[in-house]
Amino acid sequence: MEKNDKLPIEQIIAFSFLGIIGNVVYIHTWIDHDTDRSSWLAAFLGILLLIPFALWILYLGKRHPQYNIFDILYNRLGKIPTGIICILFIFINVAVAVTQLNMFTQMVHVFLLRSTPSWVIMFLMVSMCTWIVQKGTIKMGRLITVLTIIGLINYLGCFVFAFPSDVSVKSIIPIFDTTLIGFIKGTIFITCASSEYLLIFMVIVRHINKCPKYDKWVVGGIVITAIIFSIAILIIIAMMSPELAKRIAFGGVNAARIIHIGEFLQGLELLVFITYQFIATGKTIMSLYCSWDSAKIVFANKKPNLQLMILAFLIIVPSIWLNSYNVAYYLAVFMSKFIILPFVILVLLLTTVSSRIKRK
Amino acid sequence: MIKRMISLILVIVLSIPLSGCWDYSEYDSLAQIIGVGIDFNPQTKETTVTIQYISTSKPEQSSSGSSTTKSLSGSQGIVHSASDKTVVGALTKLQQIIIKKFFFGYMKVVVVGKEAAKRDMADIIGLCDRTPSMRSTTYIAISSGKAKDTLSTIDISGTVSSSQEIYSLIKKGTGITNPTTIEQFEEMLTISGWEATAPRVVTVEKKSENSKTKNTQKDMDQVLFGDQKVEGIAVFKKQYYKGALNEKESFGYCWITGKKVTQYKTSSLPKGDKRENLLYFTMSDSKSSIKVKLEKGKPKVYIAINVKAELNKYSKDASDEITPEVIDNMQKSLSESIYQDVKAALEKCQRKYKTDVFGFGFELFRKYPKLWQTEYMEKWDKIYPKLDVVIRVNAKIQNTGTTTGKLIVE
Repeated sequence: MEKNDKLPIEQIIAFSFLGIIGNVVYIHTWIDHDTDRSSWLAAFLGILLLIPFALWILYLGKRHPQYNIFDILYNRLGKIPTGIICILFIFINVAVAVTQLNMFTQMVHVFLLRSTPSWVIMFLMVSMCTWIVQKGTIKMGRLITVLTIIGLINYLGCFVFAFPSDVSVKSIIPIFDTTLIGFIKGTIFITCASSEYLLIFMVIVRHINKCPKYDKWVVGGIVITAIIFSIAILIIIAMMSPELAKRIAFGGVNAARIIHIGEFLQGLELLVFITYQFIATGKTIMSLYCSWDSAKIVFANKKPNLQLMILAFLIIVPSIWLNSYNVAYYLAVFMSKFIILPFVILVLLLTTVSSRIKRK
Repeated sequence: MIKRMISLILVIVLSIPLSGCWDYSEYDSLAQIIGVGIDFNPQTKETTVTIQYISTSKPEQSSSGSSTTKSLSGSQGIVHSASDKTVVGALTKLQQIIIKKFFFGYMKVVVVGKEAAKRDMADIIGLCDRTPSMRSTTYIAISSGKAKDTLSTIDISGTVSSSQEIYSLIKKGTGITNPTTIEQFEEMLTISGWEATAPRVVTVEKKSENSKTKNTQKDMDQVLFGDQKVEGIAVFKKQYYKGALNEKESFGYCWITGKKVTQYKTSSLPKGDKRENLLYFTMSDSKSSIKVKLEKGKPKVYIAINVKAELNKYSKDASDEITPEVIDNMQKSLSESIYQDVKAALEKCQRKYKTDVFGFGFELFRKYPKLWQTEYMEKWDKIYPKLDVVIRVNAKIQNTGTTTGKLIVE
């Protein structure tokens, strides 16, 4: 990919959206026991808490134009420490893609294609994503934008039909029926889960135009995502009640199954499937792209296409081996709680400190 | 050139799995189940599952082990049943004897027998909820007897299956029942301070000359002719069936919870009054609000019911002209009748069944969430039967149809 390519505003927003809405689209139910009816509000605030981290990355990116966070680390810390961090980064991205692919393909398996082996869907998706990543950042960004727009139209268009008959105000009021500690726990979990966005943002920061207008759109993208995601959770709760929403596996799909238009059209889950597929595709592309970018640093840009193939293989093999959304769910929760955000903070701290030491 | 060749080969190779041929099934190879019945035998501790599906090909007849089959032509549906220790076990047995693959996507109704409802509804609802092909918008009904008999009963006209008949009757929601889907039932089970209800279905056998039915012994090899009647409401405590509300109490339940009521007759008559003096109404609107307040540290429930009605049948002994005074009296009579219904429903559910099917506890939670969680949730079962309820009914008769007086025969 060309280092001088700059992402237009719509692509910055789309990257924010699909970057944040990754595994959190499945694991947001984890907070329901702590937050009850206020889960949508916790989701809203949790995503907004990403803004300081995004601004931190932007700040580092501005001080080192044309570089992403790992390039800066490479320049400051040298090959071996950066190599170790990059390998860790690759593993985290592979794990994110593996959980995402498992959740999506198992959802398809449960609701739609009972007999089709999951590996077929995984293989197709990873092949498609590899092809897209290989085409370069701008083309990838365009695809991410298209997926985001169509996915959103699908999702919101589907839930329009839920009003007014399938939603109940009683399910969402009172908004605060939980303890403050529970609410804070839920909010922090959502911040951790949606910090998958910071993984891609640490890489694409070099493609963000350095004028302040673009900074605003990075923040704007996060705010828009927070609004849309919290509305989506609010609709699910209003349709199913928080008590039922706590134990469902696929929030949007389960809620869309309730919607009916007259006697003939029962359930609009197919529309939501499309959105989930776009999310899974977008997230897999991003994870593969992040891994590839880091692999190029580790292996000094030798045979990049071969590296991409190997990375695709690294994603597909554990995905097929895992083959369970229950395990993938708990793996995604574990990574959100203990791995992703701590790793991002560690990398940013190292970058900031190393950058200052070198200057002195 | 090589790149193009590779792309072409990839497209051809990928097009095979993309076609999704693993999940291909012929329409004729599916048993499109429209109704499921679940019974429990307390003596044998076995669960019987009855399925009804519409034939898409020539009806089949079979009998195997603990399963029985009754094939009927056309739209009446084919009924199979099998028994096992669990619902899933019985369904597996059924799939073993039916060559068609079960498809639950068009399921209209789940009928649960009284004994199965008494045993544990959570098992049944959990199965429906977990099975992706079963839609949570499917209606649920509690049979007064055995679900197997209900589903096996054939409409005397022979044009519609029992599942379709029950579905249509529930969907109509004529006011003496409450249409409940699996999702709604599950919601009531999971929300604290709100107990579940479901419509009750009664099978009325017809004593037809053509019928081979014996009223005393229902044999699966014989064909039962009759009608389905959706009447009354089955009430639950947690996941266990407690009993049923009669017509008057069911109306009371509908008034309290704001359920749609379409047809209504005044149930209270002054002492010595004749039955001809009952008033009949078409309800154009009925709304209710439940408010729970804490008064002197005790929860008190305020129910406000507002109804709008149109007169269908006028009192035989009343004055010839329907003057504003007469309308006022009829409004009082209507209000009193609704009040009595509500009292009857409260009496049955508070004192006899001790189950909060009206969601008073849930309303208390909505008003005082913290207090509910810390204080009332645990001891609600003790508070609820003694709960003070204030009822206010406001009935308005909007019109008297096309006439302003009764028919005078000279």
